[in-house]
Parts: sequence; structure tokens; C-alpha cells
Amino acid sequence: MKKFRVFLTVVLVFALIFGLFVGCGQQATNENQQGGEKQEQQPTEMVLRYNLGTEPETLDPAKATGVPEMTVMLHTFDGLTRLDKDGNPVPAVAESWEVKNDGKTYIFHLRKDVKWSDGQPVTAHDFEFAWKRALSPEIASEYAYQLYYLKNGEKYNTGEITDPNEVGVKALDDYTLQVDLEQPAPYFLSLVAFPTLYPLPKHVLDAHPDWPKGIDKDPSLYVTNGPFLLKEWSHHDKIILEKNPNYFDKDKVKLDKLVFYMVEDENTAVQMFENGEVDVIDNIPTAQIDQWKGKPEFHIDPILGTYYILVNVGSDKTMGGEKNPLQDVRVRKAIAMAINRSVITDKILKAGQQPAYAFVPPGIPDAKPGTDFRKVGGNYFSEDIDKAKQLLAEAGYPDGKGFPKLVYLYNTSEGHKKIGEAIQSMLKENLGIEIQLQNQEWKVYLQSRNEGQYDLARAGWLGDYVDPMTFLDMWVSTSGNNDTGWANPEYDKLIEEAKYTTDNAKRVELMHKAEDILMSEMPIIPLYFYTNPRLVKTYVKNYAPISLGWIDFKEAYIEK
Amino acid sequence: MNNAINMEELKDKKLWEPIPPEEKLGAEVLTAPQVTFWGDVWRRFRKNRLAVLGLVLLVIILLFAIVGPFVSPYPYDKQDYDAILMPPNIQHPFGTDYVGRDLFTRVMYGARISLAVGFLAAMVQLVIGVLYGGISGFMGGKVDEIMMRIVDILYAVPILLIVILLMVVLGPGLVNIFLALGFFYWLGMARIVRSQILTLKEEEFVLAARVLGASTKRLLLRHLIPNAMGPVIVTVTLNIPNAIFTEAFLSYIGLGVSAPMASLGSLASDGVEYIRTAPWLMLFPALTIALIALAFNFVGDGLRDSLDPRLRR
Amino acid sequence: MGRFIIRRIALMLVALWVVVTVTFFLAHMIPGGPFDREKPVPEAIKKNLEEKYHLNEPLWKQYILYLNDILHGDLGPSFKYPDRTVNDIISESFPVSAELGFWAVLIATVVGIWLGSLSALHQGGMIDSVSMFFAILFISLPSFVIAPIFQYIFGVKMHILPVANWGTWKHLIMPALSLALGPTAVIARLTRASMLEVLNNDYVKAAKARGIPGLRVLIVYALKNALIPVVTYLFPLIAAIFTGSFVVEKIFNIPGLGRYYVTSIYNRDYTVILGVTVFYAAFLILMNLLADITYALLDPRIRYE
Repeated sequence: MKKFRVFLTVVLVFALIFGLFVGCGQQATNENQQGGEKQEQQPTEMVLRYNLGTEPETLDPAKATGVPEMTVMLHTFDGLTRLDKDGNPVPAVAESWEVKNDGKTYIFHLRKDVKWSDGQPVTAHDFEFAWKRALSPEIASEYAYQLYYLKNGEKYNTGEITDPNEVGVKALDDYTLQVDLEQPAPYFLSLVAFPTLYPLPKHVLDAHPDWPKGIDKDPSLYVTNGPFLLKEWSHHDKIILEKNPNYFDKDKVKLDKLVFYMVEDENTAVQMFENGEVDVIDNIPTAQIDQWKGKPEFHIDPILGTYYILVNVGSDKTMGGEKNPLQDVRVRKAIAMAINRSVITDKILKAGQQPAYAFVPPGIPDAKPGTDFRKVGGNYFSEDIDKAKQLLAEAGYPDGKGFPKLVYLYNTSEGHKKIGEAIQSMLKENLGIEIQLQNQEWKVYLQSRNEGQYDLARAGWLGDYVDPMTFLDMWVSTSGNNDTGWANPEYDKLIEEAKYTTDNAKRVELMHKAEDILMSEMPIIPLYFYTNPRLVKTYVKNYAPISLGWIDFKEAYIEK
Repeated sequence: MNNAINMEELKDKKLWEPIPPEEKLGAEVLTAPQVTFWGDVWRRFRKNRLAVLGLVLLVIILLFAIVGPFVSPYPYDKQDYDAILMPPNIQHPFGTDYVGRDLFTRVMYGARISLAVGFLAAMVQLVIGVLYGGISGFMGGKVDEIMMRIVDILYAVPILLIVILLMVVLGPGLVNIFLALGFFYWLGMARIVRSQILTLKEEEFVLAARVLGASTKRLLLRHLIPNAMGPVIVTVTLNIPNAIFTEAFLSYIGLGVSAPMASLGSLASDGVEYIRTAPWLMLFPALTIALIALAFNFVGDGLRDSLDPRLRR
Repeated sequence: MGRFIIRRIALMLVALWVVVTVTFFLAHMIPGGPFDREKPVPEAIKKNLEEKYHLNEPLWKQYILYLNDILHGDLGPSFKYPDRTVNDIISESFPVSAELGFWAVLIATVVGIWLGSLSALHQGGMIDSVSMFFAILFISLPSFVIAPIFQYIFGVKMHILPVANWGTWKHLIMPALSLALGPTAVIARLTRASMLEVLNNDYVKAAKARGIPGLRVLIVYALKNALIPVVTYLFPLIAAIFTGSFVVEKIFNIPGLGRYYVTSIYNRDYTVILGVTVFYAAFLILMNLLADITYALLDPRIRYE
């Protein structure tokens, strides 16, 4: 019986511990329940629920790098300009501007009625402060290079210059901002719509130097000037934004509340959509696309991006130690021509992607208004198995004989795996060459690419702004993004020239010439141009899909 | 009462019948058939319904996995873009996948890989565990205590985390997987072997062997380890499905085998996104995993029941 | 008994230290760092970042710095989420995992013991075979297979439960069930095996022979001894489940601790990797200690020192 008593004591202790957890749990559940009930739509409140997909790493405009962060900040801030649904900058905090000095100086005149959420006016000083902060070495912002266009921007960031006053941004008075650039950037007006260049409430940051730390516990600390304000941030769960009653453009904002979920599992997101738990989702898993095609909820929104294969041109030896055949341009072209892209886009991906025979995607205006850079540039090659075989033979590998095994690197993901498997199969059948698939975890893969530890590698590039330059300047021999080892001085010269040309027509012509070189040398093999398939409930109207991959609900509304 | 034996009467030879010579030796008549230890185990095993079912399943699965891929008309990696995502039919009994590969062949191939992983991982655990536990149990005393303290400390390490870290460092690949799995899961085996050896050490037959002059090596190899094998075998059989599940989990988080090679785990996790549109992609691999686990578990349970002297029927 | 506990606690601390050290060096051995992005960060900026987080110092120095911080209870800032500290992350997500885990363990224990006892009492019969068959089937289906099936049936098709997320009791049901299936089966089998062993013991047979009714035999004599292995299995199970399951939390989008295991490794978020590992190890060690104490208390045959 003594044993039993002991046993009973243990059970009691147990029960106590469990009871504690249950108690805490109950509390949390109750709070959530109350919160949940508050979120239940009151009949007059217009709420839109969107799946952000991933938890934002930070909501500090200077430090944010990814789409989830940008999307939240897009709704809570306004920059000098704001992008409309075609990606064109329209006046926001700046109501007008002057361009001087051959495009190297901008003078922005700010509206006088824009306020921070705590009532203070938004001034030019807030912009100067924010931009200098983003460039400061202490903040160590990863997107600081967006501000390298500013005079001395890069030098200040790398520590070459220590006085922030030498950076080319200055508040002439409360509502006038002067910006001096290193070189003319015709797309600068789009750039100022980018989150890194948002203003920050100087008076708040002076009082709270490690802002925005703590905004999850006290959302009112997140002082912003945009169409919505932060109401709640429940990590890995949801972010709730509420309409900003002091927003200068508030008549255009019809939604009362935005709920951003952070559901990473794509399958779960689709199930939530079907169950009516969410109104808009991106990233439909390829498995589900077929059943949604043709339904009114299925939208294919534009996005500026290219999926391509990186070719290791710089290395003399393959990963297997043999002579690298990829250094011969004929081999590269042969591979490019032997891949059946429509099988990949139509049978595997099925989201309306377009096969790519060039690098710069459609959706970027050319010199003349109404034209498209890609249309003007045209296709640079076509799929032709016979020609490919011929090229391969000319290079010394008839029917793939003697061709060394190449490593195709991709970062672990279902989609990349499928594409890799398809390419492997196609190259074997069409050219007789063997590809070995190697998947690596994301960071390992990035490092391998950086260090040239691959033969072929899958890659994708999304544009930072709506201009061909964002797709072309990465292949300059000194660019950190150029993992191929390819260097062409002619190409470098053309890009450099284009950056300093103020005449837009001439600039565009130079860029076309650059792309000509890129595609005739083919250190990269384009596969397809991205699309952004979305599921949107039919009662959601007037949302703006921005081709940089974001979505803007500022003027959206619900009509049931 | 006078039952005293009359010695005079007994001397009368007619009262006595001589024992025929054949019966002189083996004075004891055996009343039960002679069995060996393992023969007895097998006999009891056979009586257990579930255990036999498990064994049959196991044989079928092994055949399926080993012989299957040779017999199938489709190579496991042939893509057929006109036959994408077809439901099960005569040509493709399990249907096809998202690039038109035959699922039946891939499941057979996947079973082969999964079984290999499971078996090899279990073997690595077995070798390390038996060696470690055997030495610890046999040496006893201080050595045993230190070795077991080390095990206790290692028990605190969240092994799955370390396995994941290791897989990221080593990279994907079959060999890496079963090394990582076997290398870190041997703790349980070591404990079992040790406790077995500890109890056996005190048994009389060991004492007898020692008295007869058996060397340490002979003791270990001939007497202790074979007799400890019972629970060890049971544990091995139950560890194999565990290894397969862990591999499935690793596949799900992207650390499994490399494409186009497939294990049952990677097939099942690839199939999850098709659960609504092509459920067969997930169903068949998952069922196969389940059946393998069932088979091993029933066999393992059956073995355990058969080996337990107290359940002797 | 007291000395036993003290020795165990000492061992606990050594174990924790081993865990921290092994994890620290393994984590830093993985290629790639927290600031590697697809659009590579310019060298100068990367240098700034690394300086800020002491990543440019020699490894052993970082190790010492980290140990020092841990001893003061500071698990450091997260690399990936620079505005949050690891302490915050754990203190916000652990209660969620624990609550979910509590219900899963409760279900598993109650149902498992019930099933196992039932099977043991009808050993060899239909009930035994059928329930053991299903028990093992449930352990055998990976959770990433079961969870989406639940989501589809109860959420999309029947509309009675929300598909994902966290907040109300409705959000608890499916994830708790998914988590509980495996352990239920294990507990059922453990209970069955252990009950069988106990029921065949002489003292139980003696009680039956003396005419004590079956149910009383079961509860008073058999159950409490049969539950010993179950109880000792329970403690490490609690450690495993309360700290969260990556698969279940990801699929049901539950803001718990489990997903940080895997994602922190992928993000090379060293502080979170270490913080989560240390927390889990400490919890596990505590549970092992409780298990050992319980085992020693309940079974007088086990002698410690």
C-alpha cells in the first residue's frame, strides 16, 4: 500500500503540472477566442484575408529584403511615389518634382497634409534621416545598394566616407527634398517607391533607437504614414492591419481591415481558400493548378522574372574532373536548343509560363511608349534538335560520345526537382548526354554557386524595378550576381555606357545590343518567364498586382 | 500396519523379470519430443496468427522489392509526357506520376531503397550497440559505470536535431542517410544488450563454462552473445521500420535521397501535394510503408512472445 | 534517494554542456551563413553584418562568448528575425506547443491504456488482433500523410473544423489527433505487453484463485504494476511532443516551437538553433530524471547505488 501511496503522489504532482499548463493554455485560448470573436466580421466591416506565406523577418524598411516584408510595408507606408498596377510611379508623399542637371539632380516637393500615425507631420527631414540610416554601416542593411545611386551612397556605406552629410540627399526645408545622384537613373522615380527608401518617423526613432523592436508587443509603436496601420502581429500566425483614419488619400481606401496569414504549407493554403478561410492566395501548388484553370478565381498575374540555367563557363574542369565542354559556345547552344520548354511549362508547371528564348522578360516598356522591350528584341534562338545535334558534333561530341557527365545543381524543392528531372531526361534522349542531378539545401546551394562548384545550376531572377537594366547589369564581369565566370569586356562597356546615357532611346538601344551579346555567348540558358498564379475569391475587386511580385490592396474592396 | 517387506519372498527369481538390454541405457523415457532452443521458438512462432501473417507479408514485400524492378517493363526513371498523372489502369497498376513515370515500378524500386536503408541502419545500430553494450555489461564495475554514464549523457542529446544537422553537412545520399541513422540510434540497443549480458553473466551455465576453463573470448562469443540475441533480434526487427520512418521524415524536409532515385518516403512526401488530384501518388507508397512496418512489427512481436519463457504454451 | 537525485542533476549539467558544445560546432560547420542570399549582399555590407554579430571572430572565441551569455540566461538575438530575441521566440512558441502536446498526450494515454488493457484481457482473440492491427497501422502512416487527409475530410468536405491556424478549441482537434495517433498505438502495445506479463504473474493468479472478481483484480493488482513501463515511456514522450512536431505545426500552421528546429537550421540562424536545442535537451533531461525517479519509486527491484 505504501507503494500505492507513492504512486498516488506522483500522479498528483503530474496532475498539478498538467493543470498549470492547461490553465495557461486556457488563458491563451480564451484570449485568442476573444480576439477571434472581435475579428469575426461585423456586418459593416470590410475585411480582406490574404496569405502572406512566410513570416516577415522584420518590418524595418531599411532591413527588409523579401516579398512578405515588402508586402506588409507597402500597405503601411507611402514613399515619395507609389507604384500603380502597371508598375508606373505615381505621386504619393511627393506631389511634384523637378529633374535637373541631366538627370543627376531631383527636387521633390512634398505634400503638406501627410501625417504619421501619431499625428506628427511627415517632412523632408524624415526622408533624409531614413535614407542615411539605411546607408549607415551600423544598420548593415542588405538592400543598402538600392541607395548606391545617391552621390557618395556607396562610399558612406562601405566606410570610405564617415560623414553622412556628404551623401547626396538633403532636406532643403520641411517640404522640399534634394537628391543628387552618382549617375542618371531614368527609373529613379520607381526606385523611390521601394521600401528601402521609405521615410521613417525621426522623432520616434530618436526616442527608440532599436525600433522596430517591440512592435509585436506594442503595435502602436510602429508609427507609419500609409493607408493601413499595424494592429496586431502574431508571429507565424497573422498580421492585422486597420485602415488609417488620418491617411491623406483615405477616400481611395475602402477596406477596413486586412488580415495577413502566414501559412507556409501551400496545400494547407489551398484548403483554407476552399474552406472560405482566406480570400487571396499566391503560390498555387502545381498539383492543384489543373483543377482551378478556367475557374473565375484563377488569375495569372504578371511578374518580371526569368527561370534559367547557369552555365559554369569559368571553370576548365567539370565537377567530375574532366575537361569542361561547356566552355565551348556550341555546346551551350546545343543544350539550349535541345530542351523542350513547352513540356516543362505546359505539362509540368501548367501556370501559363512562357518559354523563354531571351533573358529580359516581357512586361518592360521599350523606348517608344506602348512597346515592349522583349517584343522589340525578339527571340534569340529556337528549339531545334537536329541543329543541336549538329552543333554538338561540331564541338567534338557526335551523339554525345565522349561527353563527360555534368552535375546539375538545384536547391531542394519539389518544383526544381521536377524541372531538373525533365531536363535530364530530355538531354539524354535528344543529345545522348548524361546529367547528374544534385540537390543541395538552399544556403549550401548558394555557396556552391558562388564558388563555382557546379557545372549547370538552376537559377531564377526577379526584377527589382521595371527596367531592363535590372536583368542586364548582373552579367557584368564584376557583378557579385554573376556566378558563371563569364566576362566580356564589350558587354561591360555597353552596360556602363547605358548607365550614364540620359537619352532614353539611345540607352534602350545599348541595352538591346548588350542582350545580343549575352544571348550569342549564352553563359546562361533561359528556360521560361515567370508568371504569378493566384487564387482570388470573386468578391474581391480592384486589387493591384505589381509586376515586381507584390500585391497592393490599397484600393481593393469586397463586393458580395 | 505390517508392510514390512518379506526379504525371503523377494529372493524368488520368478517374481522378477529381467530388463531387456535395449532399455538398460536411457533409463529415463523421454515423454516429449526433443527440441532445440530455436526449434522451440519457431514452433511457438508458428502458432501466433499475427506473427505468421507478418512473416508472409515480409516475404511478399521482399520479393516485390528485390525481384520486382527486374520484371517490370518500365524503367523507374522513364518519363512519358503523354501519360502524365494517369489513374491506376491495366498498363499502370498504380497509375503514373507528374512526368508520366510508372508508379508501380517506382514503388517497387522505392521499397528496395527503403528496405536497404532500414536494414543497413539497423545493422549499424546493431554492431555498435552490441559491441558497446556487450563490453560494458561484460566488464562490469567501473568500466560499466562510466560507459553507461556516457550513454545517459548521450540520451539527453536531441538526436533528430543532430541527424538533421549532420545531413545538411554531409549532403543528401543513401550512404549518408543510413550512416547518420545508425550512428545515432544505437543507444537503446546498447542498453538492452548490456542488461541482457548482466543477467546472463550470473547464470549458472556461464559459471560452469568458466569453471571448465573457457577463455573470455569464448565466453563472449559462444555463450553470452548468442543467448542475449533474443531481445536483440526483436529490437532489430522493430528498429527497421523506425529507420524507414525517419528517412521518410528526412525526405519530407528535403534531406532524403536524390532525384530521380526514390525511396518510399520520398515518393509519399512527393505525393502529398497531389492528395486531391492524384491520390494514388501518395496512397500506394504510404500503404507500402505501412505494410512493411506491420510486417516487421508482427514478426518482432511474435518473436518476442515466442522467446519469452513465461508465456510458454 | 537524495544522493541519487543530486548525482543525476550533476550528470544533467554535464549532459547539457555536451549538447551545447556539440551543437555549436556542428551548426557552424555547415556551409553557408545566415546572410547568404540569392541576391548576394555586397562584401562591405556583409562585413558590417558579420562584425555586428561577432561572426568574424575565431570560432572558439564565439563559443566562449556564447557560453557566457547562456550562463546569464541570454540566448541571444535571432539572426533571421533581428527584432526578436531567442528568449522571446521560445517563451512565445513553447506554450503553444505545450498546450497542443498536452491534449495529444492526454488522448494517447487514455485511449492507449484502454485499448491495451482490452487487448490484454482478450489475448489471442478477435479484439486483440484487430486492435493491434490498427494500432500498428496508425504508427505506420507518416504524419504528413495523415494530417492532410484530416484537413480534407473534416475541413473542406465536412466543413466542421477550420483547416489550419490556431486560436480556438476547434483549431486544436485535428493537430492533436494527428499528434496522438502514433503514441496511442505505442502506449496500447506497451500496456498490452506489460499487462500480459503481469496477468500471468503468480500473485495475480493467486488473487483470481481466491475468488476476487476480475475487475478488482485488474485495477488493484494488475494495472498499477502494468503501468510502470507506460509511465516511464510517458516522460520522454512528453518531452518530444511538448516541444512540438515540425510536420504537424507546419501543415496546420501552428505557431509553436517545433518548426523552429528545422527552419532555424535552414536559415543558419545559429542562436535559434542552439537555443531551441538547449531548451529541448534541458526539457528532455528533466523528463528522463522524472522517469528514473518514478521508476525507482515504483519498482523496488531496481536498485540505484
